[in-house]
Amino acid sequence: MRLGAILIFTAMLALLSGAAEEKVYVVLLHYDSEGFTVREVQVKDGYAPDRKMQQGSLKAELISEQSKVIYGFNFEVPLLLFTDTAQGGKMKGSVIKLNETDFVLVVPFHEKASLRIQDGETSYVTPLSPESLTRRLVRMGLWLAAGGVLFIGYMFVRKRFNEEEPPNTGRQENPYQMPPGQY
Amino acid sequence: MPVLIILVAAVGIAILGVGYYLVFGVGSVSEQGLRKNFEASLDKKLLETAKKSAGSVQEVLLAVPADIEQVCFFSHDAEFDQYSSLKLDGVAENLKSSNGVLFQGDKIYPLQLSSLEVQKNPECIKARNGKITMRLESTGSKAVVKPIDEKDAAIDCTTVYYSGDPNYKLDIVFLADGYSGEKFADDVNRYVLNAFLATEPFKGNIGKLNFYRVDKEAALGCTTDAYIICDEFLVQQHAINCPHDYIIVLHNRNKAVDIAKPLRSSSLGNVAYVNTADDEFVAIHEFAHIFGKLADEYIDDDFYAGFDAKGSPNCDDNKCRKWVSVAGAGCFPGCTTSSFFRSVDTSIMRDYSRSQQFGPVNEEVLEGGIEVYG
Repeated sequence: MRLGAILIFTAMLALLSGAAEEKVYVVLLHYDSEGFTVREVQVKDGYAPDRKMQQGSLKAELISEQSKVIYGFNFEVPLLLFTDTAQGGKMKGSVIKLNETDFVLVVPFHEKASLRIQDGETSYVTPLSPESLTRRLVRMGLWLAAGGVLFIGYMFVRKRFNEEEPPNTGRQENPYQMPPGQY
Repeated sequence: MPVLIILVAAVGIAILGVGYYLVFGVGSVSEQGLRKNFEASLDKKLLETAKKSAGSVQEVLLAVPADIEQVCFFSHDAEFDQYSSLKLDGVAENLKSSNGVLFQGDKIYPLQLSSLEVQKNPECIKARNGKITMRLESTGSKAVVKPIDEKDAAIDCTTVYYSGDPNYKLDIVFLADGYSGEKFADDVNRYVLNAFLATEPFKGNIGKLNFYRVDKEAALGCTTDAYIICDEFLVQQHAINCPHDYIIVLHNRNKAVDIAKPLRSSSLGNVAYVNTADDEFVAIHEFAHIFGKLADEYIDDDFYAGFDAKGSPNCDDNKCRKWVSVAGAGCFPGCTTSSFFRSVDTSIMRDYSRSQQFGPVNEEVLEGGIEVYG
């Protein structure tokens, strides 16, 4: 009866937690003469651009755990910063050409995906799924449990080994100790 | 041996404790009770209000479990704004017998409320410190639920102009920097109406464009030394509240302050940063940089040393071959630098006081981009 109630309650929780939200990776990348590095990855509820406009010579691909391309698009690193002001309608300003920059790619979420950036012949691959706190705690718990089992095993073996040793006379001879009366 | 027994006992107790929490802690009696109380109390208050004469108002404050984030009310009979709440997206249509829902992290708790009416569909209200405050207004037969303070309204995304499914449309989202109160909504309307809907090729392709705004306040890490630039990581994390392909950050700036210390608008990647003290056409100019990759058609040789017109569809060498087949296009000296040529004497990319049009070449480039969207 009790078990049945728990099962029904668990099933209800599973149903209730099935909110149909869209999730995205927000990936902060750094670009410089050395190439690309991923600075930070966030997984959030939200929308990713549909990227119908495929501009740029670089290719970004989401790779599944089974090494399949699940999503891809072309892009370019934003290296031209336009700055403009208007004086009586007449535009004035400058463009700043950046040699290095931080930029962001927002892509749809896929469990355990990696991001591959193809820059000509060179490709950069980085896993995106940040290890969840729960998973980290579970992993830490498993390591602790394993450590505990090893420790218990060690204690058990040591105890058994001690029990099999010949009985201790309670007195240890010290070879460097002079017998009494020989000073 | 005693050590072994103690260790086994400790591990056993820990496992039992975690198990008990997982099975019973999540749906603890007190939390369930609070949720049921909230539903029953609100239902009673709605009924009370509905029985009063039309226009009668009462404010209610109801307790909810501390980790409830928000409550959303909706109607299956009225038009539903699916982009208004990220959490509710795809949820409401699956809850046919409900007209409300409590959100607690990833969990949802449906509500069935009689006498409920919504003006905004959905109407979402934030919970604060384990309580939700609402204003109930009688229509004579039903009660309309609203937040008492607009700041309590839990709206992720507000649709400003909707032409269709964002998967097929060009989606532009406006974000606020330095705003308070209603001004942001007014400014967004001004930019959409006076700039985008007044300028070709956007005006003629309005059926392919969606406009949204994110009203929620968020620090975007903006600096305004000589030009506006914000922390793109923060900007993008805020923009994901709405469907978006391009982002326009409006930096709220007083005109008098701007005369004393002019501040440049800017654009980088798929983000345009706009100084609201400038004319609306500056926003269109910045958008043309990010959407059409159009270069400036004004000249400043000091700043643009090393500029290469190859990547810009609106600048060419003195032969102007890039737009040789475009009707009405010419070849005028000066396009970003004096070494390159532009297609029209003046345009929004050069001087919007003399021409509030892009000109045939730029329009063709921008239209080519918009055509990708259905």
